[in-house]
Amino acid sequence: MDGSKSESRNPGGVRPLVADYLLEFTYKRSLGPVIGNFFSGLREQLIYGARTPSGRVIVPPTEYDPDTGEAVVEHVLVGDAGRVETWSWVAAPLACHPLPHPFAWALIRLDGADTSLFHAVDIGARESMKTGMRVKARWRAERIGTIRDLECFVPEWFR
Amino acid sequence: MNYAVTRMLAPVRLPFVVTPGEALSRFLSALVEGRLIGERCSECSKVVLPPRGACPTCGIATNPRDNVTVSDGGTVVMFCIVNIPFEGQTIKPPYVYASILLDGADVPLLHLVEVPVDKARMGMRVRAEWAPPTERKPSLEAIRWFVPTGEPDASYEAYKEYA
Amino acid sequence: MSERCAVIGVGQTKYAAKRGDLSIAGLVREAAERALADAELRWRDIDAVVIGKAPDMFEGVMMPELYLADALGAVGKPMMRVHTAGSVGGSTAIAASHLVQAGVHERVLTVAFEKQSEGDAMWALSPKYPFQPPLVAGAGGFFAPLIRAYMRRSGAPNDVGVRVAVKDRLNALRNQYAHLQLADISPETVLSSPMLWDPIRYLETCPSSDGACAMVLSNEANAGRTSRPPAWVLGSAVRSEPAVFAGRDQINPRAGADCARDVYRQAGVTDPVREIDVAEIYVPFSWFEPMWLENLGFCEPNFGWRMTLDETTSLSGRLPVNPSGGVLSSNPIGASGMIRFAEAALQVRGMAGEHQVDGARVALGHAYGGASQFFAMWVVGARKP
Repeated sequence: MDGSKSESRNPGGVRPLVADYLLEFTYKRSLGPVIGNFFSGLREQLIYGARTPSGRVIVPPTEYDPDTGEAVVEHVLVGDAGRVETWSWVAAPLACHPLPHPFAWALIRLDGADTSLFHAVDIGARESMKTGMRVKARWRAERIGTIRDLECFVPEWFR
Repeated sequence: MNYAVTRMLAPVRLPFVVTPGEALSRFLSALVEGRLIGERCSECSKVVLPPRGACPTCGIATNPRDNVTVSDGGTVVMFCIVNIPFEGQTIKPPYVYASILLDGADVPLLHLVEVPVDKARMGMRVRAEWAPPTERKPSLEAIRWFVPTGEPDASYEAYKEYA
Repeated sequence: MSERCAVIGVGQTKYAAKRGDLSIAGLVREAAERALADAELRWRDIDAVVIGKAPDMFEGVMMPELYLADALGAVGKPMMRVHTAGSVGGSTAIAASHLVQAGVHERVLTVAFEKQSEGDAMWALSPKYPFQPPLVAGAGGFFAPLIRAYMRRSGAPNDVGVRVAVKDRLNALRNQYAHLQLADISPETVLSSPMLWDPIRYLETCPSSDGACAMVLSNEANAGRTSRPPAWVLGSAVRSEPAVFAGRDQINPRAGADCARDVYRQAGVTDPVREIDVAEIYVPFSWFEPMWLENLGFCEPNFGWRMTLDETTSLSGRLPVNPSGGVLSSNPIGASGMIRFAEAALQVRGMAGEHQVDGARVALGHAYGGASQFFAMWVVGARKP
């Protein structure tokens, strides 16, 4: 805050105090059957979506159909590769980002899915990134059943 | 699969830069000097501390001219004895946590009272025991706790409207 | 308000220390589906959703209205969130009822929840914040001094809190949804439980619970279409006041007394203790039963404890208080206020099961929150106003 400005409004007062404050806590989420199955699958390098009563396959799965609110009816295995629907380049990654070097955030329609997954694409240069390109999951070697088991996506032609 | 994943850890980390504002900054800075200041409302004349920059009853904005020094002595109007340990606790239970009406204030202040728990009572007269000047930070921790003064207890009639 | 409003569906989850089988979405869904089933409606019949929960740090969900829209069938419908600390379950129901009374919507789903097992309420209530007084007393430390002051002010004998703690836990044994099922509860077990914040003992405090509560509120045109009777909203009110001001009576807060007067006036209640058949009152620490009886105008100041001791507030008394077992038996904080409102509705609908008060026709639901700062109340009745 601009202390000098405050002082000019407040000639008889003191300069307002300022302090850093870190609010930090780790919540323990119960996943329920649908998200629990999705995370269990990730540990085995499998991506499960959820089929809605109308037959759409939602990936990542939701417990209830976003269109109708009906409960989803079954777990569906989809591919770990798909097509980039749209993307945004991150030239200067932040500490909280999944990759330390420039990368793309992308919406990825996995093979067999009717919705897109938001994830990182590690591709090196912005010029290489194309809407419609095929990408494939890069899995972590150590997987424990979290979204981070899926490290990022890479172009299929990397292989 | 060997076993189903049923839960996840969700860490939240939110860095803030906070300011208590001008009115509370004046109060906190005065604590470092060993003084307690309140705000006297120009409308209802009540003295409130810690100050908030406005009278909570009338809604009238206050300014530095409304600051008044309040005594660091007062009366225990309510208290409990904390026996339970919990996250973030800085002192070892049991101890006395009290609502103290400082002389010259119209709202009580919450703080510790350093007294054997079986000697705590409503109406007890107490005075602030300040941390040494070099150890005082702009916080109510500048007062370590309140200690009994040995004065006769205040009569219930004298403080009952605050309890 | 031009339209009458009725409760036509109530749904509750089983309250428990931990519902590890469900996500938060699954938890609210369980309550909402039961409310819909009671109302004999489907998701498409709902016009709008009003949701409430405890302060965000309690279970770390900042935008429940966003996260839970699909779980509550709210896609394409108005959905909003209400936020008034511990009273939120009550004020959420009232906000929903206003949508019906104003004629904006015909059928509104209202839901409140808490999943205490995913966070730490004790931490969330008082994280160490710069410039604020140090955390030295914990959750009960704010309310325990008020109880001591109430005992001094009213001259109540020491065992009033113990009586309430036993009564509400015995009532809970009749409620399948109640969290605590303490079959061996007795004055001796309460007295021998640890003194946490003297004068509050462990068994005089509420538990920490997961759970959700939901209601379907309807206008008059849709209220008569189900096989089960509706509960009519006869009056509702909310009030608030600052935590600190000169002359504040924290034991008998003006906001609570004003709120009660307003809700009785709307409901045409002139003598509450005679005209109200049963009350579900937010009592997180046992001594708050007598304190709130006074604040709610059921008796003169300093006489509330007599109503506890002479068993006026027991299940077979003249004014049964918390036949469900109350907050002392189940405390999913964000939902606790709505549970009081829903249980009041169940009583006048004659649907409270084993904890039904015979012949209940008019009931009060009450919630409070913050440092006794926020109040929400409604009076519901079996007879159309």
